[in-house]
Amino acid sequence: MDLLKGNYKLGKNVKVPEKSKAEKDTEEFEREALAQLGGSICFVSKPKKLIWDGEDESGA
Amino acid sequence: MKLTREEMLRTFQETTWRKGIDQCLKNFEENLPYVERTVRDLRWEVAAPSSALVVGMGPSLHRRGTAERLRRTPYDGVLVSSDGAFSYLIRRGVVPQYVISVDYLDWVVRWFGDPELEKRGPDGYFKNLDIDPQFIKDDAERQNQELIRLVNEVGPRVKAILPTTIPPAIARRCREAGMAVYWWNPILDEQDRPESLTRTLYRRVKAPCMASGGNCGAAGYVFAATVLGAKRVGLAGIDMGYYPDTPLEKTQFYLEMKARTPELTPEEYKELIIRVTNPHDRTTYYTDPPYYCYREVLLNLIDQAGVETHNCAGGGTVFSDRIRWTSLEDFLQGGSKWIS
Repeated sequence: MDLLKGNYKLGKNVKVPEKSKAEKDTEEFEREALAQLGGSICFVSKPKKLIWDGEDESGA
Repeated sequence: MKLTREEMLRTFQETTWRKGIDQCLKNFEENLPYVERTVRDLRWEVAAPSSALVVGMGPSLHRRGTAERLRRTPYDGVLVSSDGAFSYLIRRGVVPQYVISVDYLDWVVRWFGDPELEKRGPDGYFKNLDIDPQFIKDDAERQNQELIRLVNEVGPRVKAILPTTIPPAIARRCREAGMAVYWWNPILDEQDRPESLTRTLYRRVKAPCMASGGNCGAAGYVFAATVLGAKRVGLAGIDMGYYPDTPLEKTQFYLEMKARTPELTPEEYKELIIRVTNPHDRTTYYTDPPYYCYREVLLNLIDQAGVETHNCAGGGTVFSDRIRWTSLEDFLQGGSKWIS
């Protein structure tokens, strides 16, 4: 999709609808809420491998 | 407009990373002198079990009488307990072969009995959540002393599976209780990149790097499926959500939010709640953004593991096409009868 970005022109102007204040507030609130978290939580990620034992490290 | 699930997960990852990384690296440095055996050694020391049951500390653990059912049902596999479920199990006479811990903050040592309890701050986390009802309520000091005694008693029979980023207080407590400690590095980022922090940890400590999923239940699952090599893994007490009758104030996210954002109204909070209907027991559980993220990641880990996976919790939000819904007794006895 990135290849298509910006290499063509649209025939008419397209207006992106602005978010309402309520929508912005809710979004901001959720971001703030998540930013408050901490405590017992370590790292959350979807890894590419479940276990890695230095397979591509020299001398591993 | 609500955040999408992916946005929520990404924000959550960024937040936990920012908050946790400094402490993790500090813990890592302090643990270095004590790193001897790693989980790689376990592959030589123990044969791959026929199956493994991973026990988390979700509400189904005590609501479904998991320990009592484990005690009365023969099982020739191994038990991998999260730190949070450990005291619940040993209090009821069930001693797991392995206990796994993940968190990087030292108050978690409470799960093992905390020799320095009086130095810690308020323990609302333990008092308020829907966890083992016998774990600390009003008589925290006495309960703690009893747990120290009990952990010391069973410690020599238990192997502690600890990340190199664990608080030194937990590693120390495990050693003092006579547990054999086996270390692993947590996968913190994409190790393919040369500047990867995971790769940096590995270069300092040649311990296998393992995905933790951010919590002990998920880490226990990965440990069972990869290090132990169990081809059949069961989950108990891993709910990633709350039972419908659980008051909001008994949930971790709510407590965090109320403490840090007192102006939060119930209506605003309810907007953050996610409801998940379990097709097996046809019950709608609710979960909060952190646990929903944990759920999504755990389902991803299960997809990748490629081992026969059974959820024996009897409820909760952890279900997918890849997960067999099995009663605890059927799993323990080697069956795979699907129930719904």
